[in-house]
Amino acid sequence: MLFNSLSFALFLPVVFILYWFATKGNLRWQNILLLASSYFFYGCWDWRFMLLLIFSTLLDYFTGIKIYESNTRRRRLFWLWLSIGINLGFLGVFKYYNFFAASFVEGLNLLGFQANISTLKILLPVGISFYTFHGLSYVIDLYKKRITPERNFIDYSLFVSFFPLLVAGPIERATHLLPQIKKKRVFDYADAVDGLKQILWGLFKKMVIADNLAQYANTIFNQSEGYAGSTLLLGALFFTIQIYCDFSGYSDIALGTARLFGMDLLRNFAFPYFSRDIAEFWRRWHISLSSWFKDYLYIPLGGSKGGMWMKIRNTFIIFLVSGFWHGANWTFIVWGFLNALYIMPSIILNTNRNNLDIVAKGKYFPTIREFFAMLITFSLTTFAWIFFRADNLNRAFSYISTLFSPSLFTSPNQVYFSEEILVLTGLFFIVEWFGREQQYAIAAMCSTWKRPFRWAVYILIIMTICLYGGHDQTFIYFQF
Amino acid sequence: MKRFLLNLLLFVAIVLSLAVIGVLLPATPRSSRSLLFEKIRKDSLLVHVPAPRIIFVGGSNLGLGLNSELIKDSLKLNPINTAIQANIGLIYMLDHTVPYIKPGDIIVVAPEYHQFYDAYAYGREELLRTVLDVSPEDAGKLRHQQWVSIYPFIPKYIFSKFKPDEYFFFKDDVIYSVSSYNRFGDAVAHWNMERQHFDPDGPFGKVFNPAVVQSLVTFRDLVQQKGGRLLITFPGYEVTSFDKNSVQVDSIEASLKANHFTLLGTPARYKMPDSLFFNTNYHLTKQGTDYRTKLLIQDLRKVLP
Repeated sequence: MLFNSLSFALFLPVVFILYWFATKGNLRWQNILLLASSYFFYGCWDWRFMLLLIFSTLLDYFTGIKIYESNTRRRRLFWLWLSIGINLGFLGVFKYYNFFAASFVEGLNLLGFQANISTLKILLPVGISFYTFHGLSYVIDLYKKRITPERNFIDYSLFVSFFPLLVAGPIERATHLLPQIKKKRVFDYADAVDGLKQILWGLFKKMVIADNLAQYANTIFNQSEGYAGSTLLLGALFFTIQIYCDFSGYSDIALGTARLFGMDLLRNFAFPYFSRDIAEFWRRWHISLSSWFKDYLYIPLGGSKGGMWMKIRNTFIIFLVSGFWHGANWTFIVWGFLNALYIMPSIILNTNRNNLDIVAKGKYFPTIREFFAMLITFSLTTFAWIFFRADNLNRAFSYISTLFSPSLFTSPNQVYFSEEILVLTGLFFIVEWFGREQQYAIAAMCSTWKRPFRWAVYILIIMTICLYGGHDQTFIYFQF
Repeated sequence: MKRFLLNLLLFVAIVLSLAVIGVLLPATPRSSRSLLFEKIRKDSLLVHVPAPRIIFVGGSNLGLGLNSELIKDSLKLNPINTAIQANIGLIYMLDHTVPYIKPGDIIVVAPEYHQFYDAYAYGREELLRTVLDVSPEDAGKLRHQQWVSIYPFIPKYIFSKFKPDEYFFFKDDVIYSVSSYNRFGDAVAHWNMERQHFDPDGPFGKVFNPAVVQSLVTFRDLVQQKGGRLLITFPGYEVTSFDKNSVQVDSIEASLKANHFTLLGTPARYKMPDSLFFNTNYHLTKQGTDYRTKLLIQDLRKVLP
C-alpha cells in the first residue's frame, strides 16, 4: 500500500476515525489499533514479509529484556551480539547474499579460477533495512543503559512497526518514540491541520515533481549511450531533484500522518540542496540515518577522539557503510566513497561545523558567496548521484565520460520534456527557498491569510496533483 | 476534534463540488479538437459505407500506419479505418465494433503487442475521455476491469476542465487532431512531415493477459454470428523495439495460433527498419505506411477469395 495510492487514501481516514472515536481515548486500545493497522498496511505488500517482521520484533524484544536482566558484562554482550548477529544475518541473506556471491565469483574468475556459486531468487522484504535499524538502536541503547527495556509487547511492536515509518523511515530511536507511545495522546487541532498540510506538500513533491522528472531521468539514464553530454547533464539534474522530492516527499507524508495520531517523528530532511558545504548537506539529508550512523558506528569506532587519522578513517567507514546500506551494488559504495572524499577537506581543515545555521536566515536572497557555495555543493552532489542512479559501474563511468565530452557544449537531444513540469519544478524550488526556515516548505505559507484564500491555495495544490501527478509510482527508498 | 472534522468536511465538500462541476461541464474546446472526436465520423463511416467492406480495428499503429486508398484500389473493397489510439484499449475497440458489423464484412484487427500485457487492453486516460466526452452512451457498457483501469485518471479529467489553456490560446495538434484524417479514417497529416526523434521501447509488459486472447475469441464468434469474417494482423513495429521484446511477441503469436485465428503474415514480417517510423515505435511515415499496407495487401490476397 503506497502513500500515493487510493487504497491509502481510504485506509488513513478509517484508521484515523477508529483511533480517535472507537477507542474512546483508551491508550491501550489506541496502540492495539495502530499495531493492527500497521501489520495490515505491511501485509498488503506480501503477508510472508510479516513473519520476518514479527520474528525480528520478538527477537529484539526478548534479547532486550535479557540484556537488561543479565548480571555480567559477558552475558550482556552475548545477548547483544545474538541480536545484532541475527538481525544483520537476515539483512545479509535477503539483501546482500547475491551481491557477495556474484562478487566472490567475479573475484575468483579474475584470479583465473573457475567458480560457480548460484545466486538465489530472493525477494527483498520491504523496509527490512529500516526496521532492522530500529531494532538495533533499541538493543544497543539497552546495552549502553541509555534506556530500560519495554515490557509491554504491544508498545514495543508498535515502536518497530508504526505504519508511517515502517517501510522507509524516518529511523526512530526508542528514546524518542517509545515515550510517545506510552503517553496518553490528546487530539491537537493545530497539529492535525499541520499534519494534513505536510501530507499535501509531500504528495505534491512525490507525485508532481518526482514522478514526472523520473520519466525524463529514466529515459536519459536508460539510453545514455545515444545522448549528448548536455542531455546527460539534464538527466543527472532531473535525478538529483527526483530523489530529493521522492524521499523527502515520502518523509513529509510519514511525518504528517504520524501527527494525525498525535505522534511526532524525527525530522528527516531540512532543505539539503540549500547547503553551503557537504558537511552541512549531510546534516540536512536523510537526517535520521546520518545520525544513526554517527551514534551507533562513528562514535563507537572512536569518533574524532583519536586524532586526525582516526577521524578520517571513521568518516570513510561510515560513508562506505552508508553507501552499502542503500543497496548491494558497487555503485552505492562508490557513491559513499565519493561523499567521504567530498567531506574530507572540511574534516582536515576542521571547518565541517562552519555552517550550522540556515543559509541567509531572515533574508530574501543569499550573498554571492553563499550562492556559489550552494552551487558547488549542489554540483558535487549531482555528480555523486550519477553513481547512485546508474545500474552498474560501467554504465556510470560511460555516462560520466560522455557527460564531460565536448558534446556537453552542444544543444541537448530532442527528448520530450513537459514545459509545465519544468515551470512547476522551478516554482517548487522558489517555494522551498522561501520556506527553508520552516519544518517543511509550506508550513508557514499563507498562514496569516484569511481562510478562503488559504483554502484556495490548498485546492490549487490538490488540482495540480490531480492534473500532473503520476499514479501509484513506488518510492525509491522502498527498495532499500 | 469536532472543529477539525467540520472544517475537513467543509473542505472536502468544496473539492467534491468542484469535481461535480468538472464532470458536468461539457468537453472543452481543446478536447473537442482532439483525435478522440474523430470517433464520431468513424462511427458514421461504419454505418454508411456500403458493402463490400473491410473494417480495420486497432490503435495508432493502424491510424498512423495504413493507406486505405491502396487497399481500395488493390482489393476492390471499401475500407474503414476505425483506429484512433491504442490507449483506448483493445477491449473497448472490439466491443464498440460489434454493433456495426454487417453480413459479408471483413474485420482486420491489428492489436499493438502491448495490448496483450498487464491491463493495457482495458484502456487508460483516452478511454475515460472517450466515454465521458465523445460517447457518453458507452459509459454504461464498460466492463468492471475497464473502470478499474481508468478510474485513476478521473481526477485529472475533472480538473482539466478548469485549465485556462483548455479554452484559450490553444492550437490544434497537427498530427493528432480531429482534422488529421482522410475520408477512410487514416491519419495523414504527418505524411509530409520530417521524422521526429524517439527512443525505442524498453521491454514491455510484465504479465501476459490471457483475457485479451479470450476477448478476441468471443469477438470472432460474434463476428461470425453476424456473417462477417475476422482476420488478425500484426502491427508495423520498429526493429530495435521488436528485438528487445521478441520473447513477448513470440508468446503472443503462439497464443493466437493456439486459438486458431486466421493470421495475416507473422510478427517478423512486419518488423520494419527504424527509418520507416515517424515519431514512435508504432507510427509509420508515409513510406512506412505504404510498405506496411503493401505487405498487408499481399497477406490479404492469400486468404480472401
